Amino acid sequence: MRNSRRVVISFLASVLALGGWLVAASPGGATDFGTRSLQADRYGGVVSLSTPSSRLFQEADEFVVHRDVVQSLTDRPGLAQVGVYRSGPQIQLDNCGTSAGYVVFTEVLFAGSMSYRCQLIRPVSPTTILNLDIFRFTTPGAWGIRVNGVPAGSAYQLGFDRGAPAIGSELQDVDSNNGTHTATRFSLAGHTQWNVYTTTGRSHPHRVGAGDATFLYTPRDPFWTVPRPPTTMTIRHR
Amino acid sequence: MRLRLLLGLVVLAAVVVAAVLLLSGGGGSRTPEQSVSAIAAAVVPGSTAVLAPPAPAQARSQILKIVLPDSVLPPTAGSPRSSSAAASIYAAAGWRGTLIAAVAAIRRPGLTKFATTGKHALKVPGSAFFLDGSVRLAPGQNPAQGMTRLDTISPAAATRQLNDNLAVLRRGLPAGSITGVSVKEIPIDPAHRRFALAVELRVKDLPGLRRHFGDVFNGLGIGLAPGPASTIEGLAIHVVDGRGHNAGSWIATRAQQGTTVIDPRVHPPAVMVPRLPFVNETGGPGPVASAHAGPAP
Repeated sequence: MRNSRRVVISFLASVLALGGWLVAASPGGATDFGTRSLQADRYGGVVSLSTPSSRLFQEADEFVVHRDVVQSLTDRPGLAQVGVYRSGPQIQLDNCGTSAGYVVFTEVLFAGSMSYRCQLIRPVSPTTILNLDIFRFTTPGAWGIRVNGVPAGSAYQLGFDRGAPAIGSELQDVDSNNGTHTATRFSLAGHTQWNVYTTTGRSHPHRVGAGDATFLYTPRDPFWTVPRPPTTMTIRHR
Repeated sequence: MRLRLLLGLVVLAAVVVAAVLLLSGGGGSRTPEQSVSAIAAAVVPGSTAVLAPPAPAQARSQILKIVLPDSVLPPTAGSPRSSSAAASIYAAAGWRGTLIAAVAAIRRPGLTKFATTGKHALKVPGSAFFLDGSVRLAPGQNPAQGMTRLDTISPAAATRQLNDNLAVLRRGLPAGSITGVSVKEIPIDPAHRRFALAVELRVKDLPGLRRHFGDVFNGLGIGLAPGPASTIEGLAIHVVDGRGHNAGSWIATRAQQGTTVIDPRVHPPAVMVPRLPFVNETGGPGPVASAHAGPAP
């Protein structure tokens, strides 16, 4: 008798737990929070979804929620972009897997390849205000990305054919320009000074290594230093 | 009464011990953790890795510097921006760097970044996008948290799953589409069942398979990677055809990173959906569509 009562209680508890899990996991349930991003980049209001025509986008299965794009020239090669997304079980980005957390993706378009990369950033809670900075150095095609002020991946270079000659090796870390990162070796191939643009707009003279280079923010060059404010994405519970 | 109390205490102690083991990631294993050099050498024989001392301004962060041999990162690889074939070499090398760093980071909470070079320490412009990265944004994070199936299957089971996926793909593609297949197991930390798989597909006409990219890049990963249900540390799928077209995806599960390189001449679809009847044998990731980040409009 006692055993049968236990069985009944266990069964009811299981049913309740299963029901709770189903409610929580279902679209529109308690864990379904919408995200929106509003940010204009210098090309004007790029707020887009990667797959608007795929019909895979839905509120509970959102895809790209923010993207920030910089591009040196109007043609496609040389484009860099960064974005943030979370996904439901229906779709994943760049073979990076589905994720209930927020993932930053980066992309470069070279003339010879389309290259994408995604990586997890954490912790980014649904109420977080996320600052995404994508900025460029004044060296040919050197770009950096920061998430909440912290480098997300390394700086990388794109294939521009304009500006100073290519350097022998590239920046190892995007944070090198504000003095918060350990100096890494640069081979400047004859260059003794770079003009470095930062999204904060601050000037950061910074010596890197023994006589290698001095970084100095000088927003004078109309091509290499286009001031851009930090971009901000706000994620809110619905 | 005393016996019950004693039994209760024993059970309680067992639960506490199990919880400690589980939380410490030990899972009952007493195998010592590998050094970073041993991990690097396991992934790519002939490679080395050192943990760089923390930077003064980031006292808790460390960077893992990985040096790969010429066999993986040849100095003659050229620039990744020159062709998708060159970009694939860098993506494959960076993937190996990510695998090394991600496993090295398990017991090194300060390890946040990695930088990969070849033996000649050259970095051609554009290569850092593929070769360098981070395994966590800040010290102490565990990107693989919640991946309860990771490292739970044997290399044999994973290889069997991949071979079965390949068989489904062969049957589903037009006859003669696949002209060669090479599958390689990459051990990372065998004592903990940490390994990755790399598959190289040679096909007759890559652009002609555009409609099947979901089957190639997502279908082959069923039961294996990526995502929270992943069972293995990494999966590389690289496809080439006789005309030099090239496409690939490199997934580093634990770091939750993926790189995709596509020859722009292929014009890949915006969304890739697996359609063939792949069978999930491991309880790992099921069929899911994927999309690349794509250029903004």
